Amino acid sequence: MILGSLAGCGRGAQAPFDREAMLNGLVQRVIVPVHDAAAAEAATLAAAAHAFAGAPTPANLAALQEQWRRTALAWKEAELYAFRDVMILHSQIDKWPTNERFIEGFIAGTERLDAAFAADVGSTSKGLPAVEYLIFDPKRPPDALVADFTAGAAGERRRQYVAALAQDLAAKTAELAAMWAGPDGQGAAFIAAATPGEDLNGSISMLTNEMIVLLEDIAQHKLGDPMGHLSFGVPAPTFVEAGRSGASLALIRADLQGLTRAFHGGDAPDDVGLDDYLTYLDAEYEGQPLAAVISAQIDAALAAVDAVDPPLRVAVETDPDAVQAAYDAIEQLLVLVKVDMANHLGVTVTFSDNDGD
Amino acid sequence: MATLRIPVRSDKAEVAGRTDALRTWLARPADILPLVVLRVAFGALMLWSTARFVARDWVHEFYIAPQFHFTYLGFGWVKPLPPAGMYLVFGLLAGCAVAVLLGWRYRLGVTLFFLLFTYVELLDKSYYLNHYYFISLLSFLLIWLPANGAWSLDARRQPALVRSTVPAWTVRALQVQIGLVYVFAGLAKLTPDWLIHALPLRIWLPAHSDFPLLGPLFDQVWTAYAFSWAGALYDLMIPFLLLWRPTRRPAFAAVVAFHVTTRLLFPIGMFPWIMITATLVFFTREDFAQALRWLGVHHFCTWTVAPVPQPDQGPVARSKRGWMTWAVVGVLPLFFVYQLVMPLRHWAYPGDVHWTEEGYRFAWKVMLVEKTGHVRFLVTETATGRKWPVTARTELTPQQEKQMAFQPDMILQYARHLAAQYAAAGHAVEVRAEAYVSLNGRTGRLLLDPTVNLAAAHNDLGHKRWILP
Repeated sequence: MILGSLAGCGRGAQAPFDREAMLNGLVQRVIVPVHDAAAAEAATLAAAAHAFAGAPTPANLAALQEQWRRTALAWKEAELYAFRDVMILHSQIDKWPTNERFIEGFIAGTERLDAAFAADVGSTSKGLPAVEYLIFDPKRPPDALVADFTAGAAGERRRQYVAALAQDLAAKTAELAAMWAGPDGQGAAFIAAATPGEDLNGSISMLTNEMIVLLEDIAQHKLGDPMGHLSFGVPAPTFVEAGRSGASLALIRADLQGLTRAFHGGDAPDDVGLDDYLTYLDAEYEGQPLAAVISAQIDAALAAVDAVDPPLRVAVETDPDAVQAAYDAIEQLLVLVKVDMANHLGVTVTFSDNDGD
Repeated sequence: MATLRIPVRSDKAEVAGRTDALRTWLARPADILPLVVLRVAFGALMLWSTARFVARDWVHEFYIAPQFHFTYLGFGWVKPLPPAGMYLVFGLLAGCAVAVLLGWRYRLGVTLFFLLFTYVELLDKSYYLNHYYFISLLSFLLIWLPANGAWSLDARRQPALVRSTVPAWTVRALQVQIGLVYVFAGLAKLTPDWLIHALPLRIWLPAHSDFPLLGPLFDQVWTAYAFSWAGALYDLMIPFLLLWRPTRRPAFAAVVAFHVTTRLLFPIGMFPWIMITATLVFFTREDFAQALRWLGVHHFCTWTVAPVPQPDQGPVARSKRGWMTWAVVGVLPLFFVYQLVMPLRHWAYPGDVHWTEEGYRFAWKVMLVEKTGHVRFLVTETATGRKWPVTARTELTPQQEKQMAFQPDMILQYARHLAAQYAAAGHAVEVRAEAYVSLNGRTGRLLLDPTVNLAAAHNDLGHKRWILP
């Protein structure tokens, strides 16, 4: 029986899996490009905000809004990689929900609203959600919104703040991209710490943890809270992420897209990723290769999100079944990653290190 | 009738004779050295361990920051102190460790250490570790042993305490304690997963294929088999090999090799150092002297206590025997019977203990499972019938959430806590748990019956019928 079991496992004969090469590929093909893309979009956003601040016209506002969407979508593909060393930058770029009261307070105040001010201000008053708050309002026509930016001294301060925020956002995303790309940066450290379980910095362990955290965040907060999970089962549309722009569902989609690329290690079929590592480890799910099951579930989750009619803040009340289906699909994906994938990888799914035995 | 009575009487006499022989054997003088070596080493390790715990900010992370604690059944009244109090406890623990190390007011020190350490362990089962349990047991045992009879400030202060010999049972009790840990840990490994499938080592070892020198071996399945079988044999045999003089030294080498290997491969903290140190109690004076000669120390006997056995310890020592007599006839037999029962109690529950976890703790089940889980609580408001899921990660720390996700008693505790919280907010609710668990690489499946309202389920030692097979 023992011999049979030994013979039944083909891993012994295979060449060992090169985890470092897998992680290197992930950094070069996925992580660095998505951070570069987010930084490039943010730079364009800063230019658009500058243009709008100089000429606050409905056309410039529309251009700014469109560029905000592109930046947010690009950023969400990077949201997954919120490792400990870059967590602060992540929250400076995208801390949700934003604090509207603080923002209005700054605009009503007297401090100079420039890039230096935006760099110093707390994470809940800047980044993508703060810019969104300033330039979107689904309840009012664009003309009325533009009027906010043109009305006297307050309008000017509002223009200054949006430009300063966009500039800070461009700086922070550029800083983060540089951290990943640099020879001694986050990317190099990530590749070097290739051994999972060795300590908490084991990259595969960290990556798996971040996948879990992202999926939990989508299920619990991005979908669950507006579905009424915090409000005794009564839908609470105000809890949606990016509710003003109506981009909530598109952003969830981008999150999942980022997760897909992390899992596959790139877009090409022969890019080596976590899926190949699972296959190398003979990880199975009810007799099927676990990698294929996870891959199929990611597709199912994407399809379920696509099946919800945007915006999410409306759908949670008008089409709760579709939102529920998206939630269920993401929960199912979460179980596959957190329970099955984590088990086969033998990674510790915690942040706090502890004696174990 | 008389013919029946006579053999009964002779049995009694024989039993009495054997008891006398046992008593003599237990009471005969033995060298105090292993006892004091263990005391000093234990004190030093506990000091290190406490300092490490504080330095890593675990006092805050484990006992101050969490809003909810998973207490042990019957110990719900054990609560963390305010932050300053928790740090005071750890300060006192360090102080007690120093007292044990120096043999300064030893009995008070080790008693207080036992009480404080066990208090901390009882606060939250999320942090349960077999080696913490071992420390509780060992410190309890040390309360009853005259380990301050040499190399101690107590003995310097009160020369009457000085002794070169102790009753043999004191050293034997420590050896039995360590033997129990190893043998039960070995018995726990005699499972199909461990022996036939080499699990979970087969999952854990490949992660170390870039380990220096040995790395490539860890990618080979046979390595996992070799480690599994060697580990089981090691645990089952090591106490006996340490006990027997001819095998003692190679056995100790095996102890060091085994525990250092596990330390290099797995994040198991202090456990290896504690076990290596504990096995020193199997050494005799001659073993220590030899080991020190080997290390280049040749004057061992001159700086240690007089090696001449002195059967009569004088009037003061005799008065101290009251304490130890109590220990040997009253406390320690119960203590060891308890330890024989605890690791076996899982047989009283149906199902696989690795899956149900009923009887898993306090049973020396060490490194037997790779388990991952995810639990979602489904809350139903009784008045409206409205349902919504709740994830525990908002309130629990990642460590607590991870442990709870595959342990039915913890899921039950949290479900009841949720129900109580909603009730306090004026909402009567039922709470169900959807818990998916994967054990040793098997496909994740439901751990609990998701239709059972856990808010109304009992939390006791009985079998939890809502655990799915």
